Amino acid sequence: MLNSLLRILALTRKELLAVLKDRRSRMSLLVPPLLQTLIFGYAASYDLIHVPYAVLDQDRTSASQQLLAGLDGSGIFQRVADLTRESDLAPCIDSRRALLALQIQPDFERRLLSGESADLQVIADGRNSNTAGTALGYLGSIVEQFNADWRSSHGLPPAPLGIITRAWYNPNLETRWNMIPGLIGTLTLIQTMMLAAMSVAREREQGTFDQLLVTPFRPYEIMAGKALPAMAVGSVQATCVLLVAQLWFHIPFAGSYLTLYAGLLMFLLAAIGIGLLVSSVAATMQQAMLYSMLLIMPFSLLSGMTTPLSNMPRPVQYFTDINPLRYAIDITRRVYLEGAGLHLLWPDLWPLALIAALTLAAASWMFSHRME
Amino acid sequence: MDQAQQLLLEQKVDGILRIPPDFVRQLSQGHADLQLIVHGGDANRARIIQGYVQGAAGAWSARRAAQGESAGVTPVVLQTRMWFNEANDSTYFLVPGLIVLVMTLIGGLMTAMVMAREWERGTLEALMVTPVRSDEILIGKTLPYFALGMIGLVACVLAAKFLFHVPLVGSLWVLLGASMLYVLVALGIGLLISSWVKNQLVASQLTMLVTFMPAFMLSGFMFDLRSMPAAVRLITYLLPARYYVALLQSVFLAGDVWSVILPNALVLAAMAAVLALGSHTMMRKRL
Repeated sequence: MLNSLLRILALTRKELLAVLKDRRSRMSLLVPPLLQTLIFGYAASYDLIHVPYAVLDQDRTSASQQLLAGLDGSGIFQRVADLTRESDLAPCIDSRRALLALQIQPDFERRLLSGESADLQVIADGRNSNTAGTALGYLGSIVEQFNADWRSSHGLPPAPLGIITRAWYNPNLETRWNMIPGLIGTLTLIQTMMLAAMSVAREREQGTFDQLLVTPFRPYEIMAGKALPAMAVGSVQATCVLLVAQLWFHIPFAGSYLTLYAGLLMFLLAAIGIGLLVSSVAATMQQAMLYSMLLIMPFSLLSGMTTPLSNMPRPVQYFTDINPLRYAIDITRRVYLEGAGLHLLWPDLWPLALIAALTLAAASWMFSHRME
Repeated sequence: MDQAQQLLLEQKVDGILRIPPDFVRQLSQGHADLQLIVHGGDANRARIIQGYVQGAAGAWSARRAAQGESAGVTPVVLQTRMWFNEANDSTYFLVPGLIVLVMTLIGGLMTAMVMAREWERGTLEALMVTPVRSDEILIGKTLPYFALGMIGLVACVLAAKFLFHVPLVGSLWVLLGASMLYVLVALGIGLLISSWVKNQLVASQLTMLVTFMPAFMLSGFMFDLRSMPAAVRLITYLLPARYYVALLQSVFLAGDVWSVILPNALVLAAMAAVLALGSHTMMRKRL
């Protein structure tokens, strides 16, 4: 037992040396997570700060001006064009100059004053329907405000039904608050999984794997020796991202670090298990790379970070069941925002444990049965 | 309320709608408020839910007004149309974005690996001493991956059209031309990285970091470029994926809009030229 442990440690040390001895390779493990968190932390947000819009105001009355003043005063909407002809609307949208094009009809104020509803026609550039939907939502709340003002200043009764919304755990609905915790898993997954996937493939390509197999190492010891360094690298990377999230972006952290790390370690184990399984199947580094890419891409796209899982088609949802990142993102978000404890995270933890156990067992079996 | 909160935490419900006890009495006096509680953990989703509930409330108010049960009409009513994607179907922008990611991977990663492998094993030097010229080696090494990229593109477009039912409004030729330019740029990046680091592990990680992740996060595929801070926006101008995303989204959904196609294609062409020149000189120097 003790001998086995010593052998694992020796192999771990050798692996770490192989990865860390090269300065470039050392840098490629530490600098990217820091830099990426900084850049993506700013980029990954669905909140809009600039919504360029064009307007065709055929009414040109105080009512229409008041409505547009509400838009311009919001600080978000920027008027990029004042149009005079209806035929100018389409080019503004087509060329992506404006995200929204508003049309105010000639009888706008007359209808409002006579107590009728007046339409505000809006065209949104749906090439990115998500952005367009958000912009329309912003516009909706500005129109709502205009309506409330108009009602009170013209002695009209208020709207019969009002909705007062409160968002728990993220009162201002800042997307950054859930994006940046999501980055912890996403950024670590890629490099850790690739590191594990490449580790055996590299030895096999260089012919050193056969030498390793004739040593007294047992297959599971070889595997542990490959998994531990990757775990170490992954934990360091996750810590880097976490530090940027805490010290730079000041994302409120409601839970406990112990819970977070417990979840992250389980996630890393599952990711490395998948990586090692890939490694045991691939004959060359290029194959290992290709296979892991084929997994990393759907993993990072179907993780629930950018699009909610519940909106995906059923077969895709089944696929996400084997996606470790999906559970990691859920864990980090919930620990961050809700302060969830381990008992609430159980539905995320056991699938990760299962993935880790199955892949590591399969990889270990492959190692011992695939000696060329 | 505790029960509702528990359900929200267990993610069994997405929101809590609270109707106050004196709702009807308030309504008969002209105005009543409903309370909506959403889980802010996924802010985007929360906002969408909020929008739906608001919409339902608006429709309800309008119906009551039409039936004469309450006084007053809504002054300004938004009539929205989402061009190029009337049904607001998110696959319409996700699928073109995915094509960008696939092209990035085929073009950049595969080339980076192949060349780094040659460097690692020293077989490139062996090739250099043959009468084959260095440019010919470059072209011969990248041509298969260019072809692979094109095959990938055809597969993607077929999948987009027949599997995901995303319309291809623009012309196939523009799509093909833009994709060729982009694959060339991706190939160039792969070549440059591999001849710089000459190590498969580092080359693959580096290519991944400078192509895949930025193409995912900074290309305008997911997040709106206009709303990024100026410094980050500057970085996005350096990314080929940004131009390709703009091209694909337009060609797929809006058609051949030349005011979008020309500038973006020009930038890609310029990038391809610079990268070709770069790998040419790199190859010379590294001998």
